[in-house]
Amino acid sequence: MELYFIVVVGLIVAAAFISASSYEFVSARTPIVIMVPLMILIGVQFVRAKKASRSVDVRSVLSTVTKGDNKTFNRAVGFIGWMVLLLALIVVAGHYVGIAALMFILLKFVSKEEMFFSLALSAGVTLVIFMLFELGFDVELHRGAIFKIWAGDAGL
Amino acid sequence: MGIIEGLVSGFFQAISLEVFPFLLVGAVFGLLIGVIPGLSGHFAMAMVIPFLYGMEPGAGIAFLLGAHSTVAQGGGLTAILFSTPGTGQNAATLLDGPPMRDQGLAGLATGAALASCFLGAAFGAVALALLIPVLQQVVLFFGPPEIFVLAILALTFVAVLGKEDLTRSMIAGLSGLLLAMVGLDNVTNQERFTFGLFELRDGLSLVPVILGLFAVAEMFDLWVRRGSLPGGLHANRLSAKETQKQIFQGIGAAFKHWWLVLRCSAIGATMGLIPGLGSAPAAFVAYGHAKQSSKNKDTFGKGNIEGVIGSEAANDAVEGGALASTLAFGIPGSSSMGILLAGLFILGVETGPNIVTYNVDIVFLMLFTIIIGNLIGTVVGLFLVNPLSRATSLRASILVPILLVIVFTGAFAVNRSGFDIGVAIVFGVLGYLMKELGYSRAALLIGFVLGFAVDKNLYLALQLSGPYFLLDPIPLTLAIITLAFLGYNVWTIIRDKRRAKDNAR
Repeated sequence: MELYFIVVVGLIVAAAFISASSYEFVSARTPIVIMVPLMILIGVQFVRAKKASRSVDVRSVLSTVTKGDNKTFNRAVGFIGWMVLLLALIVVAGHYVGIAALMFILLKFVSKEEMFFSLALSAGVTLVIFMLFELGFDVELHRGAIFKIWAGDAGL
Repeated sequence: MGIIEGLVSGFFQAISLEVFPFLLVGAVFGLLIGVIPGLSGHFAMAMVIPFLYGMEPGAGIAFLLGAHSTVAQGGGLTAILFSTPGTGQNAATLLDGPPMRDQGLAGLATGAALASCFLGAAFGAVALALLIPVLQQVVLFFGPPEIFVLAILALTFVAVLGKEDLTRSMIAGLSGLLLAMVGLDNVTNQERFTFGLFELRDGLSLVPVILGLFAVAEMFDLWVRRGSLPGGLHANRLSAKETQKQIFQGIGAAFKHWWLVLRCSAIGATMGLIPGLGSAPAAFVAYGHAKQSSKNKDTFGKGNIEGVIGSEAANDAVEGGALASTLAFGIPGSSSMGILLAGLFILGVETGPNIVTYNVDIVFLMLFTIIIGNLIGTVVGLFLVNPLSRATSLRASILVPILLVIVFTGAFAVNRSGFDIGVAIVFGVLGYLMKELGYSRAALLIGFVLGFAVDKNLYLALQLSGPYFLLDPIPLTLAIITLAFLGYNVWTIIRDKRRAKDNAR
C-alpha cells in the first residue's frame, strides 16, 4: 500500500518540480528549495517500501482487493463514495436537503437504525445546523443548483 | 502595553459577557470531544475553526482555547473509567487509572485527574506569564533570517521527535511546506501549482485542510472500524453518591500532593517549549519522575494515585510552554498549536514580536482562558462524570453521519464555496492514508502553516542580507543545531539497525 502511496506522491512532486521550473526565478526558488530534499526523501522511502513489500505477495493483495474480499478497503472506498455523494447532493439539491438526505440514508440503510430515529435525527441535526449557521452566524448555506437556476442565479 | 496592564485587561476580557459564554461553550464542547475515544484535541479545535469567522478576536480565542484546554480532562476520565484514553496524551494515565478503578477507587482517580489537570494548566499558564518579559527581549533579535531558520528547526524537531518514522515525517513536513506554495506568489504575481483553477489562486484554504486532515480522517477511521468505539459498552458505572464522595477526596489528594504536581507541571511546561514533543511524552516523563521520586514505587502500575496526578498535571502544563514559541515567533510546535495559529490568522491576531510586545493583553487572555477553561472542565467533570461517560457508548454508525455533515457545513461556511468541501474530502482521504501508513499529519499541518512564513522570510532574508544570511550568528547557530540534531538522530537510527543486525546474527 505504501509503495503505491509514495509513487503517487513522487509523481505529483515531480510534476510540481517540472511546473516550477517554468516559473520566474523568485517564485520558483522556495518551492525548488523544498522539493529537492523532498524528492531525495521520497526516493529513499520508495526503496524502503519496495524492500518491505518483497515479503508481501502484491498480486494476491491486489486480487483480494479487486474481488471485493478486503472489507477494510471496501468500507474505505464506500466512505469516499458517501462523501462524494454528499458533495453532489449539496451542489444539486442544496445544503439542507443534501445533509438531511445523506444522514437519513446512512442511518436508515447503512446503520440499519429505526425509521423514526433516522428521520428525527436527520431532521434535528439539519435544524440545529440551520439555527447555528443561518440564524446564529448569518452564513447563508448553499441553496442548490436547482433552486438557483429557478431563481435566475448560477454557480456554487 | 505594560505587563500588569495586559494582565488586568486579559483577565477582565476573559470574564466579560462578550467572551465568557464562548469560553463556557468551548470548554464543555472540548470535554465532550475528549470523552469520545478517537476524537482528539485536534478534532475539537478543527471543529471550532469554521465558527471563528465573524467572531470578535477575544470571543474566538476563548472558544478555540476553551475547547482545546478541556480535551485532556475528558480524555483522562475515559482513560480511568473505560481503560480507553480519549486522546493520546492520556495514555500515561492508563498505567494507574484503570487499576484504581478496579479497586473501586474510580471516583478518587477521576477527582485527582481533574484537579491535577487544572493545577497543571494553571502552572503552565503562570510559567508562560513569567516568560513574557524574557520573550519580549528575545524576539527583538529575530528578523526574517532568524525566523526562516527557526521555522526549519521547528519542523525538524516535529519530524524527529514525533512518534512516526523520521523519513516519513520529513516527507510530510516538506509536503506541507510545498502545499503552502499553491496560489499566487505575492512578489511576482506568478500563479504556482494552481492547475488553472481560479479557486486555488488564493492558495489552499486553511480550514478545509485542517478539517480534512484531522476531522474527516478521524470520521474515516471510525467508519472503517465501524461500531468499534471501545470501552463504553463494558464500563463499570458507579453510583452517583459514591462517585461524588470519591471525586472530592481525589481533588483533596491532588492538593495534598502539591509538590508532585508542581514538579510534574514543571516537566510538562519545559517539554512544551520544545517543538514537536507534545503532551504524551511529557506525561510519560512526568509519570517516570513520579515513580522514581515516590516512596511507594512498587505500587505504581497497580493503582497508585501519584501516577495519575503526575501524568495528568504534566499533560496540561505542556500548553503554557507550547504557547510561548507559537505566540512569540509564530512557530507552532504541535498540530494543536498549528490549528491555533490558523485560528489566530482567521481572527486577525498577529503573532510574533508584536503580540508579546504590544498586545500582551491577548496573551493574558489566552492564559486566563486556559485556566478558566480547565476550571470549567473540572467543575463540569465533577458533576457529569457518569452522564459524560455515556457519550462513549454512542456507536460510530450514528456518530459519523452527524459529525460528517457538521464538518462539511463548516468547510463550506468559511468561503461559502463547494470547492472547499472537495478540498476537505481530498485532505480527509490523505489524512486517513497518512494515519494508516504512519506519516505524520502534525508535520504536514505545521509545514503547511509555516510555509507562508518560510516563503516570506526566505525572500526577505535574501533581499536584506543576500545568500550569506545563514552566516549571521543566530541563523548560523540555529542551522548548526538543526543539522546536528538531524545528524545525531540519523546516526542513532543507523547504529540501532546495525546493532539489531548484529544481534540477529
